[in-house]
Amino acid sequence: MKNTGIQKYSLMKNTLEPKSYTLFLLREGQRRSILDQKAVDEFQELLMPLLAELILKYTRGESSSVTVETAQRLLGSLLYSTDAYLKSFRHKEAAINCLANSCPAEIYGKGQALISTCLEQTQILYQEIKERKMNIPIRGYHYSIDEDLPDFLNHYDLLFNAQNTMAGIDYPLFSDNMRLQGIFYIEQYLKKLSMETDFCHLFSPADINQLLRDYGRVYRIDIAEALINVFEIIFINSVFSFLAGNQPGDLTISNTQINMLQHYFNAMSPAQYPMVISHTIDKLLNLLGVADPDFINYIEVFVPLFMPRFVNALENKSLANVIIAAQPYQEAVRVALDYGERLSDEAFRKLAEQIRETVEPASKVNVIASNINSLVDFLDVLEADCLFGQDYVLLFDTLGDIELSILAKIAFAEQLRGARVLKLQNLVVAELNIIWQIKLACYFHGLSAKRLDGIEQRLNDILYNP
Amino acid sequence: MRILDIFKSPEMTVKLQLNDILQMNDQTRPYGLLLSETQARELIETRNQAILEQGRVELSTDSLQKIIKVFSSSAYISSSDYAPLLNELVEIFYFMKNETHDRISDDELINIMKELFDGPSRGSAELLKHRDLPLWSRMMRGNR
Repeated sequence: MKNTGIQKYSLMKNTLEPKSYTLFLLREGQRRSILDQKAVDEFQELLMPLLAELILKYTRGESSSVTVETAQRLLGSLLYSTDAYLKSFRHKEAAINCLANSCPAEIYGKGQALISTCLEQTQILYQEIKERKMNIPIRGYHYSIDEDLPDFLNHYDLLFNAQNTMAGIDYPLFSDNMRLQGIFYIEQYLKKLSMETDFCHLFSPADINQLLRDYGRVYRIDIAEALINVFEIIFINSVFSFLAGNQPGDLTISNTQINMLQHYFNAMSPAQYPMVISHTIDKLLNLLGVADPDFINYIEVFVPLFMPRFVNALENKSLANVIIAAQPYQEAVRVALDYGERLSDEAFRKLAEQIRETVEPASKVNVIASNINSLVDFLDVLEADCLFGQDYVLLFDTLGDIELSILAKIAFAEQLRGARVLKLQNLVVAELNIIWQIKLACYFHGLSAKRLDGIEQRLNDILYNP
Repeated sequence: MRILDIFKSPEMTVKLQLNDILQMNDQTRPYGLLLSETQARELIETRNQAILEQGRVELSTDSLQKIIKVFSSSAYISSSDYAPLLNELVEIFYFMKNETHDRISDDELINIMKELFDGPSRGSAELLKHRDLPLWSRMMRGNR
């Protein structure tokens, strides 16, 4: 490659420049008169051969040009490495001095080495976490550890796409730093997950699973599918259970104790809440033998993050939405959701056309009843724009209480979640957007109180126990 | 102010590129094909415009030099239409880089262009662009 010449075009200028600590430091160095324009120009000029080399490596020497998007990605990757090294300096001044006294190739090389080391250490940390995985019934948690994270670590490209985080990790942390990218994001994710896991392991797995089941019942969600942070739920319950007078390490708290806490906090000024909770946390951690300074530092944000929710719950006398009380034992009624054999796409398309072409509502209902065996297909029919007006009422008339309660659960999950008492009569049609759901809500409004009671009873009974 | 202005000092850039292109005259002289400084400037401008239009980035003039080198041996190119033809070929080249989704290397694409230009296109850049390369491109997609 003989030179680094390229045309000046504002369009490319605007699209190529990524966010970068290196570029920030160059500006900062200029602002503080540590770097002059010549030094900045030189740095840029020396950065370009590195990019040109990276383009050649990327195309395996087969192409000297790449699309703007590819060039942007490669430049981002290059700057991710220089950022990595410059961020390793404790003070900004030292990093700017490094920029003034080192060539980009040197900074880039050292950055690559740091990223490579970080990748190796993160792989080790991942293995440790995998071995200490909790036995909890949350699919997102297992999927993130078993699929998302190894997928990232196996495919991480520190040369051409180092800044990319790629992995869509479902399981949320209590406090994530989404500003980080690439391997440094995954490293902080795993470090925090490790600390969270350590804390959760202080409690009995049976207690944890009971708490999660209770959580699911309070929020009327299927916890297996919920994207919830288990650590936070455990942490909150452990702190308030302890404050309510239970043993450290106990996660259970009764409704009576929650009411007692409500009175306890009502008797003091809100300004005292953070102090009381922080003090309880300190005492609890001490008794549990938790002394890891990184963990203590990690949960420092807990009180400020938690306080608005806590104050709001106290004001609304709904502390039981924040602290999960042990729910009374209830035999889980397992409703056999019939996921029966689904129609093929082609068969379903033909059936939908047939339903659409059938004029008589009763005939439509017959066609559906005799062809649909699976809940998923049934829901697809409802959403396939092949039912009109009276069709819905006739179709809902063919369903029993269990089927209607399942449909209600699917259709009104959001509306039902916050309600303490299930009342289908209270469904607000104006809040719904999907036609079949509006029709179902209207249908419920037209049913007798006795029939609704039956359906609501079923709805209450539908527990998605893991 | 943008710190990372990789398109700084265009005058210097064009001067460097111009040297690269004019140096190619040494290789094309045996075929009686030479570019004047004005023609070389125009060729660079065409190349820059083509890159911009196709949304690409290139930090060298390597492919431009390869096009000049490979096509200079074509029996269909005479000194009078050499410069305008090169301008057309450069446009076609960057267009085809995107059309082929970067699956074809620079060398391979330039060689195919030359083969078609000397073959079915019979020295017509028009036929190369609108008939023979699209046909080849379709066949190539069919084979993958």
